Amino acid sequence: MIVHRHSAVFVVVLWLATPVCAHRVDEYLQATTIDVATNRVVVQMRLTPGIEVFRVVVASIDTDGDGVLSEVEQRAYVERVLHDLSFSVDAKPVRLRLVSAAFPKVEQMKEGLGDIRLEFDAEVPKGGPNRTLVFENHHQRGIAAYLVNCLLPSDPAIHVTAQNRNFDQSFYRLDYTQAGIGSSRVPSGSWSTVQRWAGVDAIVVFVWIAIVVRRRFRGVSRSETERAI
Amino acid sequence: MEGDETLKKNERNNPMFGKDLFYISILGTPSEKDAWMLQFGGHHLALNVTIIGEKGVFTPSLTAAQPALYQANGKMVRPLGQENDKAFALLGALDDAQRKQAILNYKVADLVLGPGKDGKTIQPEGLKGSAMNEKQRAMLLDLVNEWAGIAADGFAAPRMAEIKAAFDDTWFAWSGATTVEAGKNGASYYRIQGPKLVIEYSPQRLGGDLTMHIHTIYRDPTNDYGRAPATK
Repeated sequence: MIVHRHSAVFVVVLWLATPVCAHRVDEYLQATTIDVATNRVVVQMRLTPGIEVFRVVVASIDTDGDGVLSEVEQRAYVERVLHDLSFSVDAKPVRLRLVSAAFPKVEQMKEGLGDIRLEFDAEVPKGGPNRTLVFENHHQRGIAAYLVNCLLPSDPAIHVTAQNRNFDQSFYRLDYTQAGIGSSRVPSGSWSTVQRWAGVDAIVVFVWIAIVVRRRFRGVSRSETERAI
Repeated sequence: MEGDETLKKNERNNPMFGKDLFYISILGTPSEKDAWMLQFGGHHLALNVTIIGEKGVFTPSLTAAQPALYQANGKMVRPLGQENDKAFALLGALDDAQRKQAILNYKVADLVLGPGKDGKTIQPEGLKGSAMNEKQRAMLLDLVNEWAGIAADGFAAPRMAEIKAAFDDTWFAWSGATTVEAGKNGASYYRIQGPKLVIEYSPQRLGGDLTMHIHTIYRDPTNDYGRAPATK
């Protein structure tokens, strides 16, 4: 367990010792990972403005220009990012919900060290075993460098069959299969039991209707006969 | 380190760079039995070594260079030259069908699993090791050794054996130009990914010449910083 304690420290050390983020200059790196599970998908975005474009990015967040990214401004920016994203499952648009957002200080972005971290999620609508997810990102297209990848699914029911992107990765299509798609239904063994009982019920109802109809016919016949007599 | 010193000179003695800004850190108490960690790094370098008795874990580590080609003591130096040349040689050894599998049809602008992406594993892409012949597999292993072999032999040998054992499930993906001028770096991105391995080689735009600024990352997604249960 000592290793775990150290790990946290080392993560920090790696970050401090290797300011690779400082190297973004004239691009706005937008790295997205998509984590797909049976009923839910999680989209994480890390947005890193380069030092030459940070003013453009900050100006679009800090709308009152006071040098502080207020909570209201952060929310408004997240909405703008969301507006620039497009997400669909099996060609049906799916609304992403904000799970968390973390913004760096303006000073950090100025040095190329700060990144905005956003996490969204969405419920995956029910569908067949072959699914298609499409993610498009058009945020700050003029200065953007997009990356998008699917995380290796931890859900054993999900199996990725294909990934397709356009050249700049603003368009991403993920094809996957989803095993046990009927898991919410009654298992097949029980299903046949239900069918069997339904069949018995149908026979009982049919017999009951037949008896009632026969009696009624008899009654009608008897009364008519009686009348005739 | 020498490269960073060169960068400092090229950048009018920018105090952000230079070999004076490299540090050794020890985390925990050095021990013959218990886990402890050693880090050596600075700008463009982060070597993380977790030591548990006789075992050592060398991931994650970041090696990078800017300038990636410079002159020192009358000689041209390419700090990541082998990593570049061996990758191009492997790509050149693939047949057309294999290249079609290996080459991604999109641009990769940066490391996908760089700093801060600990514990994440992406869906692999490219050409699978099981689709390579013995010669190609040997070339890929030799390329991997450029990172895994940085560690002392006692640490590197079991690591290389572990990587080799999973070679059928190890993928090689490439993005960018497929040719390079001899003695120079290419501007192409590549990734090697196995169950216990991630290597990315990512030329960077800063400076305008992608061949002169390169970042790489070396990971074991199951055991970065010695996290795997067996090393507790």
